[in-house]
Amino acid sequence: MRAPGTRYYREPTLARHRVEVRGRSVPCCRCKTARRGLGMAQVAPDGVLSLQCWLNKAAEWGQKTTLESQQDVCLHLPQLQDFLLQIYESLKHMRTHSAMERFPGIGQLLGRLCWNPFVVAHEGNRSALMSCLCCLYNSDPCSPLELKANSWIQDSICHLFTASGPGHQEVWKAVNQLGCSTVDYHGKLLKNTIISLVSKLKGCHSLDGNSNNRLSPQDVREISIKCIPIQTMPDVYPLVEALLMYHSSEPEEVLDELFIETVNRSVMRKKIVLSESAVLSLWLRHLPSLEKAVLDLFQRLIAVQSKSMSEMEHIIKDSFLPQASCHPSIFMIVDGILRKALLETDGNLKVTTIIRLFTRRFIQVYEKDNVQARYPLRAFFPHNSLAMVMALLRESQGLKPNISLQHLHGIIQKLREVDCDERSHKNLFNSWYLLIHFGDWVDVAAEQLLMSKTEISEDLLWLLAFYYNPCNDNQERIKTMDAAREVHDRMAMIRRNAVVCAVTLRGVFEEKKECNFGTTQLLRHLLVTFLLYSSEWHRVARDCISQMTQTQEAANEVSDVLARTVCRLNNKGMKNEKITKIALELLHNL
Amino acid sequence: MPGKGKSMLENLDHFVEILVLSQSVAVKDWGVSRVQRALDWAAYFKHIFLRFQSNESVKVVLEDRLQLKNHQLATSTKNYKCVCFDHLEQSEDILCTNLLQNKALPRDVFKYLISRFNDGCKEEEILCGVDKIIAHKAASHLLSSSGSLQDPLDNPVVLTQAEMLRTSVEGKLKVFERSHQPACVSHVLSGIPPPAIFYLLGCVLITDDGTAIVEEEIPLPSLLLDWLLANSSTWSDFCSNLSCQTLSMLSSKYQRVRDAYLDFLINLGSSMELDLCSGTWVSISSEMTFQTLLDRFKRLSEGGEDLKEAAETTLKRLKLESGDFDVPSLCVWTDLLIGLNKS
Repeated sequence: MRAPGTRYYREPTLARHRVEVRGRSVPCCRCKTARRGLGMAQVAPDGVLSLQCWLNKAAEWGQKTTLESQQDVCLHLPQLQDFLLQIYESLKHMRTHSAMERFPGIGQLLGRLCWNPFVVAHEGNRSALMSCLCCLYNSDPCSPLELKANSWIQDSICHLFTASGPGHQEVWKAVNQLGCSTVDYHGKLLKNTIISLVSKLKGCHSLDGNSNNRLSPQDVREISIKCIPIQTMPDVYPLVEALLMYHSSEPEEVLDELFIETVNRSVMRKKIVLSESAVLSLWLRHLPSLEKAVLDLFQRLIAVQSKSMSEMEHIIKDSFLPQASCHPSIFMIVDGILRKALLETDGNLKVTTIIRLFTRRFIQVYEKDNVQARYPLRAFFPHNSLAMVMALLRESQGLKPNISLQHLHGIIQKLREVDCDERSHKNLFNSWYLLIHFGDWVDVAAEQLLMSKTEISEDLLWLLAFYYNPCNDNQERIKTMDAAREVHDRMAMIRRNAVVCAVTLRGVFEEKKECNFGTTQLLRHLLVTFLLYSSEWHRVARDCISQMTQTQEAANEVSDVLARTVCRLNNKGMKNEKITKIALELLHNL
Repeated sequence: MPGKGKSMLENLDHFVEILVLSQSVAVKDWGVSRVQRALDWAAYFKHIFLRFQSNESVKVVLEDRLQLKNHQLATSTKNYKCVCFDHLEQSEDILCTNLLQNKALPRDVFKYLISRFNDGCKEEEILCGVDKIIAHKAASHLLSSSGSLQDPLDNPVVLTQAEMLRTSVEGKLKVFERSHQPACVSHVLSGIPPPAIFYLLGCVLITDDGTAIVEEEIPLPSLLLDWLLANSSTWSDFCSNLSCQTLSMLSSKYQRVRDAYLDFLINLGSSMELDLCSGTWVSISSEMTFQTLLDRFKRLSEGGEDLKEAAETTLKRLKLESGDFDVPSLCVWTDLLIGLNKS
């Protein structure tokens, strides 16, 4: 199964991006003052110079109708908007005649821009243009110049909304003869224009059976350029969708790159509402856009301050990336970026959580998908055995404890096989990385370890040690397991005593201060789980947690264990109110 | 409609008058506060539209009142633009655009209106509409392509204007008695210069879905065809300007078009004489070539079995009448039949 557009795939180009996605910055070669972020102070000295630059540009745009010229307008729209807003700030406090002296040619520039549909169609520029025109209009003109300016401004503004247009002058004249209201004319015309273009893009013939009006790839490219300034207009959404879904027989991309980038940015900023298939098509045909979307999601998740996971879950759900990931090519890219992030941050806790939450949402969508239409699981996890994937995929919540334990042993057995038999760094890493996706089972293992009345399970200890210390050699892993066993035994013993105090519990942890990073994480995990699941300890839990979380790092880890417990228990309606309540309380106090 | 309703209808009358005044020199005496009040009324009637758009009984009362007012104003005002219930939704936009275009508008009022472009949308949403019109115009300008005029369905400009022509004519017909309707149609259609009017009419006729405005009324296509067929030069201009596909579609839809179009083609055929030097048929009265005539017959025949039969029967009858020759290059009808059967 290969979706249309996959041929446009290139190798991931992550290196080109920094995690901080920066806005496109294409400085106008001559209009230095028009660059973003220019302070007002700089407008005054060379405002005139940059005005001349823009005047030249506007004249050039008015004369040429080539694709390159159209691209050039689109490329400069953000800078032009900034420039117009700067001019507006100056004009606000001036009379027209002094404005004309200060900015000679301003009238000419604004006039030219009023006739440029790219500029007028672009919301930000239209608003800036109107602001400038409004400033130049005088309620009480006191010179012939100002009178002339007024009349010119009224004509220019009327030109912007009255019925007139390019070509077929005789047809345009007819509109005014029709004798009824023309206010909805342009709206209707736009609607009909879009219907006609969409049906052409979809390859439909017109009603009268004329098939000579097929669009060439060049036409499609031109339409995509023209959509750049208007892609956020709701009326234009159907056309943007049709463009994104359009595939020509040409091997090269027919859509303009700036169009794709602009639409992608609007999708990420929720400024445009497109169908899921259109967004999927966008990401399938343009890998840099997908990468940007993933990095954008990643950045927003990293920035989340809330201790609860619901905000992160919401952002993930809202990004549409889990839905799009039901296409294996997309999943592989997203997963590849997350893997890289995990490696570069040395297994950062937040990254681990992101992977876990993303996978959970992805699996929800995947399982909801029509069974017939969806891709096989193997396509998403080609580096792991299907049996292991299937085992981890099973929902951990809602299973009876003994079934859960049995299933865990199955998972552990498969993981240990990789560890023993096929021991290579790559295999080991792949298994560990898979486990990171389905980390809920590790939490279940910790719970099982503490709940079981029988002898401590070596398997469960191994799983926890593997999760927190994947790259250890055997010796190291055994050390981690020993430390965990010791802490477990101590706590089990304390629990058997009638009275418990925070100091005793702290003592258990204090003794293990010398452990390595992974082991410390494991021990914290165990202690928090013990606190949550031993109801008789709840009264000292708060003290105990506050003693445990003296460092930011410890606080983050404890908070993560608490939050994911709440999150897991809330899912699937398997509510354990008592534990959820204490976990939320502890989380709140952190 | 007692009480409240009655005063609403009176206000509606006043508002329609305001719309007329907003296009006249009378606005020279309008101040900002008066314009604000007018805009408030516009907002009120937009609200009335939204509230009653799905309430048929109220809608009919308002529509009747508007017709009455339209009728009254149409006789007294030059180039009067009829106002119907649906227009109330855009009453603010209509008022604003009327005022902005009016050269008699005091400057401070104009400045007041355009200053709303910036902050109006957020606060009072007055000029949101005009800003939207500007955006729509620029966007449709951007996306417009030079579509063919002969195939009106392929041209959004023609398609849109045809929709407006229909609305405009239907609106006017409601105001006039049945006996005055043909004159009213003729007045509107004659006002639009050829050939634009032909493209628009072709489009209105093709897209008509057969739903008459009111029962017992004459259907709109019938009135339009009356106008088109009343004058043979109008009809032949219509046929010459539209593509053979469009005419074929119209022929399959309307019996009257089929008959008149066949007559047009036969007239063309009759005007053809064999040019002995080149061995081709040449029209003495028209630019049309034999091949174009044949193409038109072909395209007509492709429009359906009944069209094909009508075309062939006519050609066979004409062939019979002119001597029933089977040999080519003796009779234009024989040659057309041979050409038709070849494909």
